[in-house]
Amino acid sequence: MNDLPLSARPRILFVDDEPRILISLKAIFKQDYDVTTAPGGALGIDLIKSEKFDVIVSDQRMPGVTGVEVLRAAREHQPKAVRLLLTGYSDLNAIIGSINEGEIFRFISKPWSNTELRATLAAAVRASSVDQIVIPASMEVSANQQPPSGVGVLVLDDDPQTFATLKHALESSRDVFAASTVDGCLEILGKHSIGVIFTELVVGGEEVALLLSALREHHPSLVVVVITHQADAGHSIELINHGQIYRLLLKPSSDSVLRGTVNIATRRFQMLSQNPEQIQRIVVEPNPQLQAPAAGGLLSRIKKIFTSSWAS
Amino acid sequence: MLQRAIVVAAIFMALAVLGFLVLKTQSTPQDLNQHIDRVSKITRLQQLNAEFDQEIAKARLGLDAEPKALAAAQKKYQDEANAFSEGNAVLKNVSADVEQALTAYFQTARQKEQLLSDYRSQLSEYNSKFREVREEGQQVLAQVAQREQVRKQVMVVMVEATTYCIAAAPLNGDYLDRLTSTLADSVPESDNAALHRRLVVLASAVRSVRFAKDNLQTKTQALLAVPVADALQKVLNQYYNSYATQESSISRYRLLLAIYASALLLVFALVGWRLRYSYRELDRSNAQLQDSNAHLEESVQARTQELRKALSDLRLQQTQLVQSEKMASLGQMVAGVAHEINTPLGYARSNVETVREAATGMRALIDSYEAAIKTPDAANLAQLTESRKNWNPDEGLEEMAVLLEDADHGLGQISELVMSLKDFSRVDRSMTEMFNLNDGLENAIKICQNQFKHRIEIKRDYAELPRIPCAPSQLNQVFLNIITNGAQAIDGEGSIQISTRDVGDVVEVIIADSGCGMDEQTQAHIFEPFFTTKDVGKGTGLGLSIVFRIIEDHRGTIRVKSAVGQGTEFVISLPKHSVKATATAAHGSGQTETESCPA
Repeated sequence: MNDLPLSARPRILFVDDEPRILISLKAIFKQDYDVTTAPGGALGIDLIKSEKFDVIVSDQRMPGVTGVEVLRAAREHQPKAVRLLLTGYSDLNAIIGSINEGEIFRFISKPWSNTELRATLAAAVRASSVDQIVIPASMEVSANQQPPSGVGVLVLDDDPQTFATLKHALESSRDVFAASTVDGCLEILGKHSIGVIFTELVVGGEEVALLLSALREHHPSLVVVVITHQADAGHSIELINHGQIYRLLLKPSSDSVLRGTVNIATRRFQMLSQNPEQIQRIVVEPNPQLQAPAAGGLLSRIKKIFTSSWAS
Repeated sequence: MLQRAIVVAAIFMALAVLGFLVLKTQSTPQDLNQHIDRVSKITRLQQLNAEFDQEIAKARLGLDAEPKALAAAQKKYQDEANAFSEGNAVLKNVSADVEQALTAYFQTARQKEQLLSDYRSQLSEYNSKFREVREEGQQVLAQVAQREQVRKQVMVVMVEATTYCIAAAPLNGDYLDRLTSTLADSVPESDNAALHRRLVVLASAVRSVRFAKDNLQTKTQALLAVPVADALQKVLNQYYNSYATQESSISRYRLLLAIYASALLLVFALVGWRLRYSYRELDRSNAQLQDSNAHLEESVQARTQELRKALSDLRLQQTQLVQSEKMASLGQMVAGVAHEINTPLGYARSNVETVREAATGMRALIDSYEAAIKTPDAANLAQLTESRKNWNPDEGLEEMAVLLEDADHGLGQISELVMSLKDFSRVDRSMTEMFNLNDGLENAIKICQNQFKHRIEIKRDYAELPRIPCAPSQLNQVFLNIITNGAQAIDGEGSIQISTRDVGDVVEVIIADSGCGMDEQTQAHIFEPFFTTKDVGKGTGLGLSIVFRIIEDHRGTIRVKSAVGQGTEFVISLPKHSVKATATAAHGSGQTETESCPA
């Protein structure tokens, strides 16, 4: 890579208020990438507006402008750029904001391991090689119109209230399915064409994270929205890094938010189905738990479902 | 109250009715005597009336005698009758019927009296007529002594006339009339004119006595026909009637009384039974009371045990709550500190890793140099050039120096932070010591400042302070709490002014924020446990109550001044020479917490 001419190298922007962090990062990546640094959120946004980058990495806690704001600006001005958050400690609100508003690719925690950071950056650069197809409608606009039909929505929650709320929010005969267990979820996935899945984090005492990782691996175009009342920072980071969830909603959510989310998630599913190369942009780190023998059964089931019904 | 009045009224009513009935049934011996007296009087009057009537009948037989017996009988009767007539004294107020009968009697009596005076005059007239006849007859007889025929005839006339007068219902009237009419003829005028005249006079005298007798007879009949006896009998009957009525009414009342009395008795029996029942209930509850009284000690013991357990549970809960508040503020602190440590740790660690990687390049370069020095052939020189290209010593060494310097700086920052944490918590120091509050404030600021350093300016205005005896770790907690609260009250950018003052016997710490402030109602409650204006889950509401307790434990005071929109100012005042800084409750169970809270 370092043989490439400077102009052909992927461009990476690092935003952090601590200059020593920027020095370190530059020391790591200057060999392989065209590294630009911005010592603060405001300066970062200025650069985003004026220059093209492939990958944008930002700290969260910065004076004046937070990381979420930087990433939101990046998504707006440079949708092609893959966005990462590099943070020492983030409260839940920041994490949820970066998922929903920043459509973030990865969370990286400080202190980091250079090796892992290189791998993550490499993955981000690969993801950025595919142009982002922008789904034009913003959530506010789409909240008022009916989502396109023909895409099944599956609600995976042992609390029937979620299903009822969603059904009420959609006010239509859209294909909405409910499952209260992981097995039930797989069954429905096998029988019906599901594009969007709304899921709680723990269903019937079982954590859904592993299922989401497995689904991401075998059915990458499936759009996952997590809707939960017990979100915590660690979980959410996992969900992004290993599951690339699309949205994280907290219960209770208003009807308009739910409708808007279904709308935009459905469009995203359609976009992903029509443009399979876009899946490149949302690849995940392989979940180490998937390699565990316990996950074998689940994996093979999922594999079976998607080879039999989805391949055809 | 009303019920009681009703009961009392009912009892009085019952007694009044009873009294009334008793009164009604009362027939005193006097009444009986009066009754006997009345009856005897009436009877006597009847008797006298009968005697009087007898005398009346007899009187006309008296012929020429004065009717003395009649007068006596009349007198006796009149006397007795007067007793009745004098305002109805005897039969006064008995009954209307009796009165009526009595009035009727008086009427007939008056009638009889009137007739009697007629009768008496008639009687005296009759008597004088009779005397006249007798005298005339005796004179005639004296004159006709020689004439047997005439004398006989005159004698017959005299006898018949006397008989007529004596008989109550004389039947010889016609005979007498015949004799009388022929009497004068027995001696013709021509025979003896004088005698004839005498005989004519005698005959007229006889005729007049007969007339008088007839008259008298009629009067007698009329007199005797006056129904005085009947009237009297009627009076008596009416009296008997009324007496019987009275008696029967009394007996009716007596019956009523009997019924009423038995009903009353029944009621009393009912009440008694009820009372007995109540008493039994009372007895039973009394027994229960005594029983429970006996068990009171036991139950008090049990209750005390329960209360003691509840108290200890409560204390445990309080301890847990205080602990959870500590954990909550610790969590906030950790959030800030983690970021603050992770940042220098991030670059320090990364730099060390980078330098280690660079060391590989350096090693390769050194190896190339050594090889080139040993055998400076083309291959080795090419290798050396390659190695220099891989790791440029001019850039690389400089970069290494920078990276290592940064790493050193980062580690220094971390150790500084750890030091201030240690200073703050003072885990390795004695609880009570002489301490400068300015240092405590600095510690607290250092711990929490990183959470808001970009939006909130801390302004310091410290005075020279003497060291005061206190529990520094507790006061640090107080300062941290108040500064953090102040920072949370500021939305967006703002400032916190921290001043200290040395005022006589006390040291004052003033912490004023430019935040949203509080209304008076909130100010009144802020030092109470569990009071919070933060969202659920954001705070336990124990922070300021613990602050209050700590300050109170230090014999100090804490005041708050605030207005909505104008920020909040806390003034903490601590004595320089504390009597005894009680630090024992540092991690304590908060026993005094509730007492020390302001009302």
